[in-house]
Amino acid sequence: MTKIKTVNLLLCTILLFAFLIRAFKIETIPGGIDWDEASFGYNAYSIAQTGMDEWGKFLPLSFQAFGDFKLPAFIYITSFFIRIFGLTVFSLRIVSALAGTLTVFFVYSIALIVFKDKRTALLSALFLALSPYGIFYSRLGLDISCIGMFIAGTVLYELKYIKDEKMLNLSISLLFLICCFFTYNVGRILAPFFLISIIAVSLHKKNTVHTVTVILLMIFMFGVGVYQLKNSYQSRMKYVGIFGTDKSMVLNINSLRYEDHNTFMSKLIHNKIVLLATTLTQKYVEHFSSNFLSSSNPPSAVQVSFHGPLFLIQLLFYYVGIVYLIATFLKEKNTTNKISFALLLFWMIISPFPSIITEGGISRRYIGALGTWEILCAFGVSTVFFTRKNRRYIWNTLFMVCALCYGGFAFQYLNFYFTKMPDFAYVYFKRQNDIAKYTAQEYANFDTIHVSRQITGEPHIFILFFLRFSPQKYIQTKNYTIENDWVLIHGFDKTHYPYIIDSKYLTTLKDDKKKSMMFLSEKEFMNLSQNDMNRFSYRKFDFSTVDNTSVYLITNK
Amino acid sequence: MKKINIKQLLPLFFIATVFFISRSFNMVHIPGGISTEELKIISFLNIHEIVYAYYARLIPAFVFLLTSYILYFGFLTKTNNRLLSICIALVFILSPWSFAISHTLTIQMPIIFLACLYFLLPSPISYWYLAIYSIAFAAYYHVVAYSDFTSNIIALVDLKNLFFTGDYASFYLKIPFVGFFSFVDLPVFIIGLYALFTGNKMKKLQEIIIPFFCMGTILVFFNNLPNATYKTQFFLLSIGIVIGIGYYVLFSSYLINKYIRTIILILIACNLFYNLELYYHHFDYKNSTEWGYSKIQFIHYAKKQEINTFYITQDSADLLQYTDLFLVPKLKFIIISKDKIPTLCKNKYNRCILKEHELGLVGKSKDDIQTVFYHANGLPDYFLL
Repeated sequence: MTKIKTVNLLLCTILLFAFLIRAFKIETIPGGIDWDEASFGYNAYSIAQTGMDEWGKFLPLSFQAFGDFKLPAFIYITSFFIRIFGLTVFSLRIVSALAGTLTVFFVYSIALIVFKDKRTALLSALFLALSPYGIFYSRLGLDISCIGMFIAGTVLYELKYIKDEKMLNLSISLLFLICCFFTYNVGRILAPFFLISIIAVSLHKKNTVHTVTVILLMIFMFGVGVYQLKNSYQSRMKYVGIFGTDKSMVLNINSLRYEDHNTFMSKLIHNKIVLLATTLTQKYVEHFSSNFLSSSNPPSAVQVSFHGPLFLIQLLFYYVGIVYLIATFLKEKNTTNKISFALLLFWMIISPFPSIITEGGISRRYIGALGTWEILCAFGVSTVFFTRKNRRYIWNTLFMVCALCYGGFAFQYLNFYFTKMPDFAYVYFKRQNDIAKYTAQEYANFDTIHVSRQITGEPHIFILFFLRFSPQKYIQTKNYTIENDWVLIHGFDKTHYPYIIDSKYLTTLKDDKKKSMMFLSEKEFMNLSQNDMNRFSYRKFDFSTVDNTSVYLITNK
Repeated sequence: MKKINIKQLLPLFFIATVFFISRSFNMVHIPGGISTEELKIISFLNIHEIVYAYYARLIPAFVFLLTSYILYFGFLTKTNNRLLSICIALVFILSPWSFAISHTLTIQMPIIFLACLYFLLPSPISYWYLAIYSIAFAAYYHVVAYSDFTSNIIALVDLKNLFFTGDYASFYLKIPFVGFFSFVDLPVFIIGLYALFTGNKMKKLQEIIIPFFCMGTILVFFNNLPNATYKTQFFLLSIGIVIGIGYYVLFSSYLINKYIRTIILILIACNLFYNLELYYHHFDYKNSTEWGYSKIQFIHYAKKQEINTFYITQDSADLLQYTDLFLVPKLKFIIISKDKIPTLCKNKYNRCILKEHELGLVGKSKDDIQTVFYHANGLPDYFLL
């Protein structure tokens, strides 16, 4: 009884700790919201206020946003929080923090069911609570933050279904699976594989009702998939996928064939099949390579983790965990246990798929594996340290050393995240955030507001977010064009977003009686004539040490 | 006198056959140029003819074959397992990293040869030999002055680097699009590693490999270029041996029937053919500027000319390393400074060698020049006026 209480207490502590790490200073670190976060937030606000998205569609299954057709699950979940707390960075990001914390609990439960060992389960939860990937993505107000939770939820309830064959568990698993499908593209790639695994399990259990239910869901998802393929998915894959005439793989083939003078033999050797096989294998192997798993770089882009998913000290245990999981799976006699091990292995095997079919090693596409890394590490640690019958002094000492090293790595990471990350606020659109906040503050004092696109690509979304602009009024007043499937907002209400602000643009603002405020880049400001300078008063709005440029704010005298 | 059993010689013939087949495309003429590192050895060997300079590459090829025999005999003596010894020797011969190195006239092959003597020596002596040789190796490459362990450890055990990316620190020694080892070696490596640590009768092998592997790993830890082939031979050799063990396990396992074996052999052959095609047809293109192709072209050209004086600009002066060795008694080269280019090179009786960016000084563009010496990829290097 006491032991159970201790375990529960430890689990609660880990969960609390996980939540605190994820929620601490969530509004200010990372130091700004990027345009996707702003778009998710504003669409959720729009849903909370009107039940429609920013384009006036009632409860859509796909949000047009900038023309990138965002998936709906995250927006709908966030809309509840925005309804309660209002549209703030906190209400947007707290969803991610909660999802991250819940993932820790799911991972604990998965490890407990598969290994039936509380120490392994607690270690898995601890590793995820302190996981660089887990923390990083749980502090961004993006769809990616929920996908880990939905995948873990799917696996957890599938495991429960394997144990007890209850329709309730199957239904919850399928519900999570549907959420995966409607949350993030990684989920859309992985969901069919999980669905196949559920079908395999229900077939194995010889339960016709369950099998038919799952197959019907599969048909539904296939239908939705085909429908959505026509809109966003195809164009997205054209952009990020490895297939296409202008992709590096094809360029390599062309170069090799040119060097071989386009001979028949060259075409036989250097073709898409051969290069695709090697490229896919290479990308797949990369997922398990030490360089990817534990290397760190300074933050360079929004949505890209600056640290690998594991700390260096965990690497060896991760590999040990994989080897022993395979060995345990092969040796296991009990069918139910064997299926549980197989499901965990299956999850590990399929998780790199979304990243291998796309170009560029962008860390968010590996997010499907969140949970497997931690469980395998924990299993590796258990195998090395906890399964020895005659535990010697040296093994205890070694365990303590490893634990201390792990603590050191975790502390170093957290220290970096909370003390050094604010220095990288420029990566997180701090400048654009500041412009939008200032605009929101001064909105009532000016008749027209102009923000040059030379400063940022989509300035309107930040202003909408920080202004908490009425969605109905936005739908009525916005002025836009569509170029290459991308929506360009030229203005709404009293705001305007020209490509460039120059003397010519300023002469179009002849009506000097209107009080105007303009944000323009340093280059644009330097190109203004003396006459323009005389008409307006100006000041430096900010200065970036990254590119040594400033944004200038000019207003009429 | 002990009678020689022909069966004992068969593996040696087999290894030699694989060696000659893998080189049947071109024994010495790839890389198509001669690197500055090779020039030093050619100069040391007192060779002044380009044709002979290429044939000097037979020396590393011979050492390469000899090293594979040493590996074979070393493991045969210590394990008394013929199949295992053949597998290890063949993996060494066919691994992209060693294959590429063995085509160049550098100090690398002798270094690897001497390292492999460790496997031949009896056990107490071999450990001493390994320790002393490692210290000498470290001293030769000055590898004891680096402290960024973390990134080295990560780079060291990275499967992507080993089997796909390969040597990006000295990529001029690398087969394009191939890692240190072939793609098909990856699963075999995992099998070999698993067998080495869990299989029966592997204790002897562990005793042989682990010290060598540890020494290789330690040397890489203290290395500022963990991916450079010429500083990681010990480590790469150890990985190659583990792959050899993997192949041995595959081919000796009762679980694998003859059909699967045939499929494995076909896969190996396809991968080998792929690697060889990339080496023999694309190595020169991908490493165009590294191997002095344009310089060799110039030597061939100059030998046929009756002119005996060339003016050469300071930017083109690297050509002199080659001319000093191959054209010493015949021709005279005068280095000219930038300000003298217009006066000397505009004179139609003078022969000037210039780089592309210097053509403007004599009022010419690259299309006006008829005699151009190109890199292997077709880009111009030197222009002759």
